[in-house]
Amino acid sequence: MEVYLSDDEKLFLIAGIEDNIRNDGRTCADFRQVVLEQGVLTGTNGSCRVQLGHTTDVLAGIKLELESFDKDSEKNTPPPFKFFVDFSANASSQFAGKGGDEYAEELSAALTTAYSNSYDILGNLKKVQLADGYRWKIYVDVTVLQWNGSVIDAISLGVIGALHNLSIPEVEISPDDGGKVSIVLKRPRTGGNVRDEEVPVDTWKLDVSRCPLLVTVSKIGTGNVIDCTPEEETCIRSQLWVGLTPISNNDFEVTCVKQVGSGLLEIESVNEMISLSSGAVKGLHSALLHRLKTEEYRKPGHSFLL
Amino acid sequence: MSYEVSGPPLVSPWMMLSMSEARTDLDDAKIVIPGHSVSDAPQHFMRGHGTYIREGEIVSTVSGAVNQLNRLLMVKPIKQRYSGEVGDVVVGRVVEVQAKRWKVDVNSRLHSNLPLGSVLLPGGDFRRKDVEDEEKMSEFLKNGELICAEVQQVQHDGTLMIHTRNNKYGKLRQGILIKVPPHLIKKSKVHFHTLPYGMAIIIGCNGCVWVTPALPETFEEEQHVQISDYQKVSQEVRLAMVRVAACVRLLKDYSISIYLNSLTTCYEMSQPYEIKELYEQETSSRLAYLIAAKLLHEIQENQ
Repeated sequence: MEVYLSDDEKLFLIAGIEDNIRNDGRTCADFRQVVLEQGVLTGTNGSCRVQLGHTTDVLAGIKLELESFDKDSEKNTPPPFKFFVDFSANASSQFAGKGGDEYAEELSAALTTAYSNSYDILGNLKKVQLADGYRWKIYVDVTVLQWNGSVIDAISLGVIGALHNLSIPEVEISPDDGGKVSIVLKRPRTGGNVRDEEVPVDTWKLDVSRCPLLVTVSKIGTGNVIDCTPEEETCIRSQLWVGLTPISNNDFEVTCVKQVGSGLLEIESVNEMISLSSGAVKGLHSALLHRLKTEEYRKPGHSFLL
Repeated sequence: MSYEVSGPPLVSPWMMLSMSEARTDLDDAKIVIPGHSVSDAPQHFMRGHGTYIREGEIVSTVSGAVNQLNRLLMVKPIKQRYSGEVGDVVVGRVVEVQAKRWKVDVNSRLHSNLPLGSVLLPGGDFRRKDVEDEEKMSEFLKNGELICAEVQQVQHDGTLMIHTRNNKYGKLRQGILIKVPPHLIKKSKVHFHTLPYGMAIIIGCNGCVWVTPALPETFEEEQHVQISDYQKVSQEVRLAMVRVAACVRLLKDYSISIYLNSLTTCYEMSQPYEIKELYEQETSSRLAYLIAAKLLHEIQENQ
């Protein structure tokens, strides 16, 4: 869906943002309503779907893979995450063919940057290192089903939701011949003659309370705006992606800042935009954690597919 | 600042509509999907639009409601692109400037034509449209600009010929455009409304609703000057416009037809809420339910 606006419509929109009244009644710092659902894909180890303002729709799924590595050649353990973003051609005709590839790569690079010091952010991530030479590799795949502005915000929410939903199996490690180890999934012991395969595997979860959120702040006219609609995106002068991660209860740390698109920014307005985004992230983060804690499991069929 | 992360709605718009009694007058048996049999006695009926004959049966080609007119059976599609009727007021966007005509996107299957001869050029009536005008066409209407026009003719391939030969039609300036499915627009004598909230609205029959501070005819004097001055919209007017736009989107989401009465009802009933609350699932579904009930009640009283 390509959006054209006439000059007068743009003028109207820009003047509105300078007046702090957007075309949908929000103020510049407001987010649209976020709909978040966990565990929507049964074939994954963890999944989440996020909808922003009834249209932007993002699906995130996580698969785990046991990976062996050479412990001697690797000095610093790299983060176990591998991000991949894909734009569905259904989301917007501009993504048809290879149209979305470049943008998708940029998005996955931004996610990798934001999660680069993930061992500090996720408290119990060390546990994915199973034994000498073995670890879980976490593949985070995101697909954008519908595009209606501020897709990176929705993706970062979806990734956190999927990480929260992720259940990593517990394993038993026992030494094996030749200095190697054997890794067996751990199942709780049960009485009776229940077959081993039917007992669910023990799992553990990641602590996501300090995961980074990415938000887009856009400069439209003289105003700074959060969570743009496609109409507003046509009027953008310059845009920043800001990644923020909570360090204590009410304090946030910037983990990545990236300017996208054309346009120049004064250093003062960069600071303004970052402070605006940190205010937004504060509100969004507490709302997100609340939702993650209180979400109740819905019967499939009463889920997003309907 | 408000941030809300919630779950998917418990009640979808269509479920809510079936709960309200607004749709009970429609007979379920008269709704067909493509391939459904409309009648098995083609000797008694004639097939109309949206049907074809297969093995001695009249079969629907679209999904919609069966209409019968004497012996003519036709299926009226529920959702379709704008097909156009002579005399309709439409709102469209200029997509191409060609020799002697503009191509306009009016949400129809094909782009519409707006010939150079069908517009009111600056300088008024009885003017020859000469080469000079042709050269200045893109000065008058550029790509991406919105216009309001009337359908003059529907050609047999479905192309619409539109004209703006009246002061109330023409270029649209500042405002908000909302696209809704065309079947939601209720035809009426008047599609231009100046609302008592300090703003105006054009309900285009093609599903484009234009919310604007003032109708084109009220600044007709400016039309003589091609480049009109930009005037900032005051805050009260802007708030009213944004609220009306939110009302139109709410009516669209819950498939309530859009006309002056439904819009003003929605506007009045939305007053207790903040504008951004109208996009929230809980508020909007409750409000839509009340609006549908009220409109239904009014219709029943009038009968």
